[in-house]
Order: sequence, then C-alpha cells, then structure tokens
Amino acid sequence: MSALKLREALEIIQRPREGRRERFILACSTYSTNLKTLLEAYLLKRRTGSDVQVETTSYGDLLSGLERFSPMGYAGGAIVCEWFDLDQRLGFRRLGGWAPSSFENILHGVETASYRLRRTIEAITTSIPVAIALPTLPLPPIAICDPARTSELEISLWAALLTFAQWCASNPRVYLLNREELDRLSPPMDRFDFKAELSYGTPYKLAHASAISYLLSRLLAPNAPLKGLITDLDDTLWDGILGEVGVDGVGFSLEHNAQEHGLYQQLLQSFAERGVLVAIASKNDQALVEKALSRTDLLLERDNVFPVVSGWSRKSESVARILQSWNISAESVAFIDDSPLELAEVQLRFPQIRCLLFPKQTPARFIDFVHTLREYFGRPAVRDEDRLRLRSLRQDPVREQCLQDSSTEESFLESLGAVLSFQITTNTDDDRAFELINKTNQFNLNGHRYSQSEWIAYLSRPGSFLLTASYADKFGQLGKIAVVVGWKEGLTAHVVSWVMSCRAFSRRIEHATLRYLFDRLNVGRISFTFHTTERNGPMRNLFSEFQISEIDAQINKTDFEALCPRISHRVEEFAT
Amino acid sequence: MNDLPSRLTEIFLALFPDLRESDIATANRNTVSAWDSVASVTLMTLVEEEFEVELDFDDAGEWASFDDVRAALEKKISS
Repeated sequence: MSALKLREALEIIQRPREGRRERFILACSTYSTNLKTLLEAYLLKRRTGSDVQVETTSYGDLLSGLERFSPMGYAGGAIVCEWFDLDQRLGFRRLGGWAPSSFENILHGVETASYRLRRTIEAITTSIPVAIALPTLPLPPIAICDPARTSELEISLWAALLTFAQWCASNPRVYLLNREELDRLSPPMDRFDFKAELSYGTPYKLAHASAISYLLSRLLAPNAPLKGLITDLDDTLWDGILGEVGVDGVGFSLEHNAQEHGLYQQLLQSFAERGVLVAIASKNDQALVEKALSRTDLLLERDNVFPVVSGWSRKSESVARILQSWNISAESVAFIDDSPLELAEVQLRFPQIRCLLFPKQTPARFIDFVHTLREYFGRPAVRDEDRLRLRSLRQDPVREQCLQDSSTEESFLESLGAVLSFQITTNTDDDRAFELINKTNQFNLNGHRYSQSEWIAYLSRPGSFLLTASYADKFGQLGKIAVVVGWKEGLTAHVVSWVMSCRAFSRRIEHATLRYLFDRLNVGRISFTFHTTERNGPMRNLFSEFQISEIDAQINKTDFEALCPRISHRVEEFAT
Repeated sequence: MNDLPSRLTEIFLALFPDLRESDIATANRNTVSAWDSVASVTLMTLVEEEFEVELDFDDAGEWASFDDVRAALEKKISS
C-alpha cells in the first residue's frame, strides 16, 4: 500500500468530481476529521468515476449516532469502534473508576454495548453493507496485575468482543477489518496519540488513521478478484529443472530444502478448490511434464490444472493459448514465474496481466508473495458456479468436437438435452446474480454496475423483478449464468440490466430468456436500457439478429417469434 | 529552511482551497472563514506531517495567521 499523507488526501478530495454520487457514512466517536478525509480520498481513488462523499455520524457517542442513522440513500457504512465506545471507562477521557469492584460492571457494559451494536448493524445492513474496525487501540492499564501477566478481566473483555466479532464475520453484509492486516500496516505501538486524545479527542496518530481508512476503503470498494493463475513449473511449482533432474529429481518438501514449492502447490490446490482457474505454461517436453504431474505426492491435483501448455515456444504464446482456452481477458489473470525475463516477455505482450516473480531461494519473501496472491484472488465465499467453472471448461473441447461432428447447428443443439432453469424473484440476497451483473462485460446490455445499496434499493421498488437462469446439458452444469433486471409496466417489460456469462454463449440461452420473459410476465413488448460499451459486441449481435434498433431498443412479441430460431431447451421454473 | 514558506503555502492551499495563492501570506483567522477550530487541528497535523516536527497543541491553538505558523515553525526547527 502506498499510504496517503493528509495533504495528499486533501488534494484528492478537492479535485473536481464527476460521475455518480455515492454517499458513505463514517461512524466514529472520536474527533474524526482526519479519518473522514482519508477515507473519502481512498474511496475516491478506488471508485474512479464516482463522486464519493463521506459523511459522519454525530461526534461523541458511537452507538447513539448509529442508532439515529438512516441508511436510505447511502452506498455503504464504515464503523470504527474502540474499547471506550463499548464502555467509557475503557478510555482516557472519562474518569469513571478502574477499581476492581467495577470490573464486573465494565464487562457487563461491553457485552450490552456489543449487543446494541449488533442490533443496530443488523438493521442497517438490510439496506447497505457495513465495514467495521473493532478496537485498534490497546486496553487502558485497568487490570491490577503485572503487565506481563494477562488478567481474567482482559481475557473476558476480549471474549465478549470476539463473540461479537464472530457474528460480524459470519454476516455477509458486514465486512470485518482484518486485525492482522492492520498490524502489518500499522505497528500496534505506533498507533495511540495520548496527548492528542486528551487535548482534542483524536486518539489516532496520522499513519494509523491512514491505515484504518485504507483498509476500510478496501472493504467498501473491493477489487474484483482475479479468475485465473498461470504458473511456470521449474523452480516455481517445484524445485529443479525437470529436463535435467528428471521426474523424481524435482522437489517440493523440507527434505529437498524446497518447502516453499510444496507450500505454493498447497496454495494453488486451495485456490483451485475455490474456483480459481489454474494453468501451466512451461518450457518443457510435454510428455515429461505429464509424467511429472502424475506424481502422487504432488500437492496440486492434476485434475485441478487446465490447460497444461508445454513446449519450446515463447511463454507469451503459451499464455495466449491458455487465455483463449479459458475465454477470459488478461486483466483477470496472474502469471507466476521464477524468471524475470519470462515475466517481462509476457508483460510486454499482455500489459494488463499481473506478473509476479516466484521468490526462488528467497524464503524471506515467500510470505509477502503469498500475501499478494491472497490480495489478488481473495473472495468472500465459494459458490457452486466457482466449482463448476473448471469442469465446464474441460468439456469445451469435447463439446466443440461434437459440434463439428453434427450435420447442423440445429441437430447439435437438440442433441444436448439442455435444461434451462429460470427463477423470478426480488430477493436481494442472491450474491451470484449480483456478482454476475458486476463482472460480466461481453454479453452486457449497458455495462451498468451496481453498488450493493443500489441493488437492494432497485429490487425493493414495486413492480421490479430479478430473473436468473441456470443451465445444464449432457456435458454438465454451467450453474447460474444469466441475470435480467427490470420492471413490468402494463403490457411492457422494461429491462434495465441483462448479462450472460461468456461460458454460456452459442446455446440460444438469450433467445430462450426473451421468450420466457414474454410468456412469464405476459407482456407484448420488451424495452431495453441499452448502451454501447467497448466490449458488449455479443449483445449488439443479438440486437442485430432481432433487428432491434440500438436507439429505440425494444421488440414486440410478434416480431420476436417471427425471427426467433428453434429453441430446444427444456424449461424449468423455480419458485421464489 | 529556505523552502519553508513555499511548503507552508502548499499546506494552506490544500487546507483552504478557496484561497488564492497571492493571499496566503496575509491570511489570518479573520479573513479566512473556513479557519475554525477543526481547521486549526488539521493545520497543525498537516504541519507536523510535512515538517516532521511535534508541535504543542496549546501553541498551535493560538495560531491566528500564516505569519504565526511560519514563526512558530521557524522557532521549532531552529531549536
């Protein structure tokens, strides 16, 4: 992280703004001007194209300020909660008694305040997501024993806090700031400004306020996780040059003084199980590579790697083949190699790919390397679709061959035995639908991205609908692959967002989706909020196929049926 | 030390964006409406950050003009 100085933050927030306004609330009982300035600046940096505004709840009492707050019109909230917010006797600005006789009462105060905070956050997160930092400053020296010894009071306070923290971490709309990451960026002994706390009620040193703000901004405006990782083999996935030492000569364990390679394999296995695509690009003999990858002690399962591209061409050629096979863009991929030269060659051809040097024989850098990978690929949850992705990609060549063997496209599509499952709902908890809308580029009606609060607000409007489609055929399941958002008005359905995963192209799912909308909503016309984007060519192709004007952007049922090719899916409908 | 006035000017420009650069040398609490108690605390933080000095809150609270800040800073740096 490049930490912002306060002056830099002021300069950022004073630049001319444009784009959609996004209001965030910062709840913090301390005198929080610097936190507010820094948070707004970090959010502006992360939300380019948005007019971010950070407002604060009233100064002095975190809980009361939050309880009075109405989330309507906000995009998200940030809460910074210190010990003194849970009981004022755990701060330095109130003299309320540190006598042992008050300990039980202090603990009770913390438990009660945690419960109030939980109830308040539960109410707020029905509308907007909330990022929360739990006490970042140390407990005051309230315990009576030697500081070398942990007191029962301190542990009891931590236990109460951790119970609350566990609830936060389990709530998908509460983003709990990672204490270890904060420790990494802001050393615990350099955080507290005792003098400023007493003089002005500003307990944070500036660097600490900057670290908190930075992490909160990452929680509220996260980067989209990368989708694929391409790795080299020699001196990366394992220690040694396969062509020189042979299949049994490469190592990845303590015995071979190559533990970091084993840990790397273990990490990739974990990524693969969470839906990250893992491929190999190696300058090696293909047969030898396959033999090495079949070693039973490898911690990365062979089936979790696809494709394996080995040979003697340039690494960038191998990367290009892998990207084509995955059908994803370079900006969603990281390439790992131990050779700076190979990294530079790939970077030159694919400027958007994240190239990362494997820390060969520099174990001290290994932890940073893993940390960076976690930043690239971290995601809040694993969905079924993530697990299905690799299986479906593996089937693509088989499917392609089957298409070539069929006499016509029609006969091929009919032979698939495809099942489309539609669900119409206004349920805002469908994270997969939200994710698809916000990451799909090619088959995308207009490129509009939703903040969580906007998503919730839109689907709460009377008449609005959310249509999702899941697909399966004889080659396997694709999971939930299409999302349509809109509202019905009389005999017209207005579609404001429509996306479909590129994995679902060429199956006439979009055609079936339109027919389902006409029939299910019982409308005679569908209008579209269409905008051309740099990458939504597939959507424009559909418009062209149905002779839909990009300006007028609507179609009636008669025209649709006249132009629609044969659709052979079996359609299922799921209750909301 | 020679660049102190220009660095201090940059700070004032960041904190009070409505001020013209030519007015900064004569800026004071009476002429700058945004210079309230909150701005005073922020100004002190900005000065500490820029010049890597630790200032006294009581002294900083009494700053009433650009010249006051400049004089306090020169004294602090030369001490």
